[in-house]
Amino acid sequence: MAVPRSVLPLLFLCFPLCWAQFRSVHDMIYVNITAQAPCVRLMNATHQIGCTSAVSGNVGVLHYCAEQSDVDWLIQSAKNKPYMPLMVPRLFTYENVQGLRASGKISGILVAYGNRSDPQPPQAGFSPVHKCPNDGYGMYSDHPEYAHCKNTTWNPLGSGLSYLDYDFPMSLLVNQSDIDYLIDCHNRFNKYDNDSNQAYPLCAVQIKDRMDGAKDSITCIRRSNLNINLNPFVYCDALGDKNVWGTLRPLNKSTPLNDSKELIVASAKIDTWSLFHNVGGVGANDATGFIALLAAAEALGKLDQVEKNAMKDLMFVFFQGETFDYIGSSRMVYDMRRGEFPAKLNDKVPWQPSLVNTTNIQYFLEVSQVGLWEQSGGLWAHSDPVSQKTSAVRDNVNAIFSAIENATDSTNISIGKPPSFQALPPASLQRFLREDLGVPGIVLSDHMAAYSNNYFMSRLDLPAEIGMDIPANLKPDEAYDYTTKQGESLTKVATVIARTLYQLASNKSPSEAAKITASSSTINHLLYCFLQHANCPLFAEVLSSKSVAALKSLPGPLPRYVSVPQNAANQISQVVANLLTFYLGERLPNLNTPTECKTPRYDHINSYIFMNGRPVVNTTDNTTSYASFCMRASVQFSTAVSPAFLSNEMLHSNEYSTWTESRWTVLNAKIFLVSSEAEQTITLSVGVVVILVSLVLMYFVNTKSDVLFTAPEAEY
Amino acid sequence: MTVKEFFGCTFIAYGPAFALFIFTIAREPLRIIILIAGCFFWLLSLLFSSVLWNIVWPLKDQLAFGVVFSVLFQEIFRFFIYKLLRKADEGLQTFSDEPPTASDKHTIAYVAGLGFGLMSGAFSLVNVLAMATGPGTVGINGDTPYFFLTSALMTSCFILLHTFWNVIFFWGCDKRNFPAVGFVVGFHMLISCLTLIRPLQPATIIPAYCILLVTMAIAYKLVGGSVNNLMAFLTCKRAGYASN
Amino acid sequence: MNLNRVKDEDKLELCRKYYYGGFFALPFLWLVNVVWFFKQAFIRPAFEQQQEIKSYIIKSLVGCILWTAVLVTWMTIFQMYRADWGEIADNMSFIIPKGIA
Repeated sequence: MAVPRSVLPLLFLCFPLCWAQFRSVHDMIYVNITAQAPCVRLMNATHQIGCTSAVSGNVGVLHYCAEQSDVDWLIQSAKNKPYMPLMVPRLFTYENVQGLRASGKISGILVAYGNRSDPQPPQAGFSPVHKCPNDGYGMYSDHPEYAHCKNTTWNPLGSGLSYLDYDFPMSLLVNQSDIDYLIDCHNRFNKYDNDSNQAYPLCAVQIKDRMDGAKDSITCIRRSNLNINLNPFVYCDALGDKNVWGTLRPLNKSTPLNDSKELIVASAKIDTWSLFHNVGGVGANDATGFIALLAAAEALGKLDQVEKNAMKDLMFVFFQGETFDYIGSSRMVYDMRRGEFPAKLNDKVPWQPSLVNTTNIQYFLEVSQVGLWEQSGGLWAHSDPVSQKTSAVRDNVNAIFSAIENATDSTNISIGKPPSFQALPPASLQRFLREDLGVPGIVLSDHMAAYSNNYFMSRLDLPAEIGMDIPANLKPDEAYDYTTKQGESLTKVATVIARTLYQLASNKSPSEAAKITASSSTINHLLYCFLQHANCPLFAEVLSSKSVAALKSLPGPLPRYVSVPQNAANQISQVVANLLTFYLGERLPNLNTPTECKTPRYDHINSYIFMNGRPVVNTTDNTTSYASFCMRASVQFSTAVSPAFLSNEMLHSNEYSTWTESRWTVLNAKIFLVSSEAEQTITLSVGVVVILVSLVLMYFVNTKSDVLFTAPEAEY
Repeated sequence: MTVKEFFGCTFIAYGPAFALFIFTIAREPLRIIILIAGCFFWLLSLLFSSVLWNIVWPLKDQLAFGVVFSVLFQEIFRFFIYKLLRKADEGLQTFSDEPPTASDKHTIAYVAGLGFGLMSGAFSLVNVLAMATGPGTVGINGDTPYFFLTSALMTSCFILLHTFWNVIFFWGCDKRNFPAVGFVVGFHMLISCLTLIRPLQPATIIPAYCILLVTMAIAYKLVGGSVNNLMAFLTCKRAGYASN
Repeated sequence: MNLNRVKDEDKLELCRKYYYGGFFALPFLWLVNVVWFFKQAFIRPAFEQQQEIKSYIIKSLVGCILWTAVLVTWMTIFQMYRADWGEIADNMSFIIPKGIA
């Protein structure tokens, strides 16, 4: 029953008249769950995946599953269905979720993920995505030999859990206090031995996270565009964000690349994904690629300007949305092939970067997951067998490989080539080769065949799993500078990348390349900031003061889910762009205020970014100011929204990623007690009896009033 | 709570009042006007006690303060409506088709009292019932699981109490019988404070209903009832047994 | 309008107007006609225009029932196959449900 809004203030006023209620009735019944990361619904051209609750929310009896036997009990002998199991992370496996789902006894799943619940990743590994990631959207979609990962299964542990469609909600609980309360409530009301079911009242949970979109992207986009409705409603949004790219030396349309094949591209992907929406701190090994590339960019950015000018054009690209069928790279290639990358040439703009096309790429080096190379016996340089049938491509690929080989020799890493029959692993390079087989490229990774990462694309791909062994007793600033095992090994990888790129770009000898070394403190800081705490000195230095303030409230690392396009780039893309500017650019000491440090309108080549700088403590009056500064670099964002959403034909073409995220309006969860059906029926029966008896009694009282009430005293 | 419990509690709380309304008031426009007047005056008392409660902010958390003054305000406004109705009595009679009888004064008191009670009942239960359709029931923080049932029973009790109190109060004012007026105010205060001591526990229900029985008996006696009449009613005797 | 105060020939005229009006895809008019003139047509003692009124009322009733049948059938079919029809059904819908196909 909804009380009209206007009555509520009145109700509030009447507080003293409602009997001794120190708390509102709502608070006597419900306890809200303060924070949750829900599993949300995503759609592609043919399917919907993820979770949704019913319109009015899903209610289930809480059952705390700490052991496998608890799950089995739920499936086999629980009687008071539906249930809402609260699982420790270890039990949230494909088998258990499917078992519970098939039993039909659950109305949702809660997963504990507070600070005290040790995730205890299963030894056997856990990967909720496909065995063949991004299948169908790479270059081998219908290749007889290589399609569907035919000769190498890249992610053998992939269960596909994230890609299933659930008609119930699942949520990750991120606040330890919520988890404690739930367990306590379970212990107080629902703790029964596993043979006999306890009587009511039982502790229950309701999750409300109804998704608006349904069926598939095509349907929900069509519905969002329908005009017949009086109040237009958007059901889903295309996934996407911004790619970040920057060049060591500005590209200028005054010296067009035209047909020259002299551009070197170094790329990595930024984004990752987990079943639970926007959970930070996932995809640690996934992040090693772009972290190493950033550190390499720093090493190369330190070169003096004369040397930079003598080198070939070197472009760093950080792709967004690659997890969802290569959103970022497919868009970049699409723009390149249409002569619109970085932007259409416009005579009115005097300073514009030259057009870049796939045909300009001489060497393409992609850095994939590289965090676990020590376990897998070194780095592996993957290349594509199909394109290498052309000798020109093969020669260039070999040139990249020998540059890597030289670089690894000088850093004591072994580098291997997978067998020549093996195809490329899922990588952005595949999108380039799909359009242009003439792009010579290598994907650098820490696995020969199957991924070394046993927790690929899961929330258990944790920093601890890649040797981020920061002792727990360190203070934040000590932890920030601490050199972990991963820090050590990733510094080597970054050095290899920097030397390889230097060698390729400058044609200098390996011994000259050996002067370039990635900074181990940069790697430490990047690892700490991206994987442990985003609220760290490095980010605080390179971001704008506004973004720094926004980071202050973030307890952990930045989420790296691509999400849906906003006006500004995602936080994570913004950070990468600022870091790249910081590493590649030059300081402009004359521009000292944010208003002065603005990219001029005529300049489409460079970006000017006013960075917050390091805190400077003034010893005289103990105040902190910031040594803010202005940076200029040829670093830009480029659209990372799938071309599929540009036209209806492309949406139906199966050529580009079609992933969309459903919208939702309500997202909440609460804990409360439920009474038994019998009790409720008793209350209703009593009510019905009361009203019927009253009616009958009053009928007789009224008709016989002359008997009951003799005319009262005459003197009245 | 579920829809079932919502309807159960609604029936319990408002069932008796609904029956009274249907059989004794609904068909007579004059009585409806008086009923609404009763409702209105209770709302006025609510307004004044809320204003007071908001003004005297240091005592906002002192529930006892709020309760005591709200009872006083209700009784003051009961007096005001008594004054008003007695003044309007003659005017109101012109609407009526039938000539005034001796029992009309009691009828007016009864109808106004029911209006008073209905409004107080509506306000005490509506925010509880608003929560009742959700999936949960009271108890997660250790409150009594019978909260809804107790609330409904108390509401029902209060509606009837206000009705009978009004009859006694009006009679007391007419007769300048101050003990009767004092009885009403005193018991109103007593039962309100009772709920203050043991908030909404089943234990408050029994004394509340005992008071209701006593009040009912007194009111019945005042309007010309007697044990004989009651016996006659129960044994289905014909009308006129004790009439003049 | 109080039918008791209307002359019988006017009643017939009124009934006829309602009957013809119903043909403009207004089955509700037929329903009103049936309810309004039911007493006149079937319960009142016979009068001159009763036969005619009766025939209009019966025809109105039949029309109304036919309309109801057609509408109910269509609504059932639409609700059952809305999801399968996809775009066509979406274009026919005024309110598209959220969260289901």
